[in-house]
Amino acid sequence: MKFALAVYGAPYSSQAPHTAYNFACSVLQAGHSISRIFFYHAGVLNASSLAVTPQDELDITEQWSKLSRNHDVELAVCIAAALKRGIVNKEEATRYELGQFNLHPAFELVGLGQWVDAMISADRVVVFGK
Amino acid sequence: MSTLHILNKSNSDATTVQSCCNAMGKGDALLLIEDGVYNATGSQNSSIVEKLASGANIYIRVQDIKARGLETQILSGFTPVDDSGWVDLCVAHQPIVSWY
Repeated sequence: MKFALAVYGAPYSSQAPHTAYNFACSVLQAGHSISRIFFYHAGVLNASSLAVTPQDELDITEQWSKLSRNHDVELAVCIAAALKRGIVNKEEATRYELGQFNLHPAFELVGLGQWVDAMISADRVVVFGK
Repeated sequence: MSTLHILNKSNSDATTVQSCCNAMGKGDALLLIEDGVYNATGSQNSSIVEKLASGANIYIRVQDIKARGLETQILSGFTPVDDSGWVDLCVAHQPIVSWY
């Protein structure tokens, strides 16, 4: 069965990223697939490559990145929600004349249409609210 | 196929809990996750307990109960599930609605 997940909560202010990550691992372990994980609202902060995680805590951005690499799961970040929270890739940094960019390379900035597309094509959709 | 509702708020967010209960149809299942597991303890005057008494299938995420040290406070009648059980619930229900 094909799953699509949405994460609305940010690391450290919501349990949503951890719950979603554990659930995603269980989905894959059960032999199902995940077509896309969509990061929306404050959930876009999961995609920052500049967060430095304390050694005794889970680096959630790195965990998402590994999951994506090992299981071919697309990590999609809402571009509008990301830009206003300071999550930008190289192209957007150039467009808005910003000095830096910080989107983790495992993630991609996309439009809301990509979430609609994921919901239509997946058998099951699970939202992880903040 | 019946709906799976997922609730992640305790009764301190009573509006969300009530909205979830109001939306539950006959035969729907409910999974309590994160702070939602507090609804399954005797300490909160939550409408979730009434739902259980009326025969609804209500599941609780074991990991969140353990994280909050609530093992001995969960009322009887709630069904504990791990994340693999959660995946099975998702397969058995459609749509899946999150309340947060």
